[in-house]
Amino acid sequence: MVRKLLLPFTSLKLTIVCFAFAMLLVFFGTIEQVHLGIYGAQKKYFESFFVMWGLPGSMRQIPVLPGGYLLGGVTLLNLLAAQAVRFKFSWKKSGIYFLHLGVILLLLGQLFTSLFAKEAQMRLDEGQSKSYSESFTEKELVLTDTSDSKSDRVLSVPEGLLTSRTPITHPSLPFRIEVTQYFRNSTAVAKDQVSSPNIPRMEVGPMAVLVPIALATTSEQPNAPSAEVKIITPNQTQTFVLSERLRSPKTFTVDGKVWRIDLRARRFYKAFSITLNDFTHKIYVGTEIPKDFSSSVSINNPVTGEKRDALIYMNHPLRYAGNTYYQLAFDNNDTTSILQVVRNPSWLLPYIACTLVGLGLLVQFSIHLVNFSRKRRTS
Amino acid sequence: MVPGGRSAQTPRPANRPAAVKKLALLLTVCLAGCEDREIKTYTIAKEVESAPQLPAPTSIGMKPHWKTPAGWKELPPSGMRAASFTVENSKVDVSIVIFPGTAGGLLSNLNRWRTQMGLPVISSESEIVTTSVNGQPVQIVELTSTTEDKAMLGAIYLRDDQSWFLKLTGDKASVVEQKASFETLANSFEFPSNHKSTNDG
Repeated sequence: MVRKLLLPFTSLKLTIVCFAFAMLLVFFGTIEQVHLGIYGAQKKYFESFFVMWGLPGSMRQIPVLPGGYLLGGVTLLNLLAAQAVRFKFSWKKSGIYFLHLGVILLLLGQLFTSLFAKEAQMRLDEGQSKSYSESFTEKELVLTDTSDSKSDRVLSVPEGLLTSRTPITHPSLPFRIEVTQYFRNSTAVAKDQVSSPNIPRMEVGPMAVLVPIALATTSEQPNAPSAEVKIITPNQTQTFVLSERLRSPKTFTVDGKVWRIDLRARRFYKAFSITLNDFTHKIYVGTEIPKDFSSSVSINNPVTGEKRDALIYMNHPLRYAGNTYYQLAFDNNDTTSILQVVRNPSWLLPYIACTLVGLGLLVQFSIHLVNFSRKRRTS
Repeated sequence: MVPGGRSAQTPRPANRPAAVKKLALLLTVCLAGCEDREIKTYTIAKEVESAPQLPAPTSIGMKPHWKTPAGWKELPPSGMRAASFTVENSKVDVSIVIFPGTAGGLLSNLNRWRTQMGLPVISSESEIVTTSVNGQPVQIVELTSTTEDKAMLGAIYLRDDQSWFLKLTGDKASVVEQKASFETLANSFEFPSNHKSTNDG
């Protein structure tokens, strides 16, 4: 029964079709990075079941290519099914077993990476310490209870709940939150420059308004959301306009406690802090061509008592507490370093997979070589 | 490396597309379930929220350098102001405001200022004098109200990604008094051209 079910997936033709589509996907996915940026192209081509294409002059979208998940899934099934149904183990083919195992691990590793890996950034000015990284794409509305003298109690509302406009309540909040307007990406313009009265807007100050704009496509110009938020208690309602574009946290008082409210890139706090001691940017003499970028950082972990320095530079990331810190970019005339923070529980899988594939090839070719030389000697 | 070496003879089953569809559907449902819509709470060590810096997403663009004139004191950024200044023994208000993009263009911004001073609007950009500071085009204007005791000095740096507005307002006498200092500030603007991603190459 299982065999019958698996049989259609063991086809060699299916393998070839998958490989051909994979080549097309890589080709078009790479080209599209110019328009969509790395993140957008990755989502559209590789982290999808189908690549959709909008018909010109219409809102309708049609699938034009199988996406990465579908191709990877079918290839994996194809490989597993063939392995289970067709292959009979023999020492002569042991190399192929290693090889297939390696490819299976590689495909699974990619799936786990896209499901479980988290990427964020840490932006540090020289001399600055941070114990959190910030998401490239996710946003959060945070309410901070600042009444305690030693610690802050933070409540984070993900963007998904802000766009749905449902009233937000939580046992730790003595008030209700209502998001009356939310722009996923926005910009500030002078009031008299809004072209049409029909464009939704939020007032900020006497001269400027925030208006919605098209969603960002590159990670260098990320979305800057704006929200109009009402804080509602039985006695009073307070309205705030918050915008990541303006970076203007607001404070308010409820029952004698001071709260801070802010709309920002989602933060991931850690038990340790990283300090940027120095950022160095060397160029080849007489040119603007970059030669070397490096960030000298200190790790301070009050939990373990660990204090140590590290140097992060191209192809030499810092691995610490399950996170990997890569040198990503710099800013502010070489005084700000931007680190990419990657948490990928399956980061070892591709290394193991490649070792297995290499080993498989070596074993298989060695077997062939030995057989060949044996045959030659006997003839 | 290719599985099923003998599969050329495999009979093609009729239900393959249906099986693929079911698999895709199953995976979609699994993945859609992973979306994060949960409110989270956590406690952190007391954080001193540093004064809001330049608008976060646009600060990736270039923040210029400027020189604070003698007798002026620079205040930290607030709201849309990248900086403000207080001037000793003077009531003028000085601000550096940053807008993303070209903020409607030169003509409409200048006319906005002219309207604030009660002056008639101009109809063509050819009436505006453009000079250059550190290789960057800039428009420096002096507008004096004809009806009230107020005047302003302004400088506009329009760039593709951001627009920088320097503005000094006050009564006529104070504005004249601070004119030299304002010009020092406007002429000290220098935009670095070095925000680059290190993985460009």
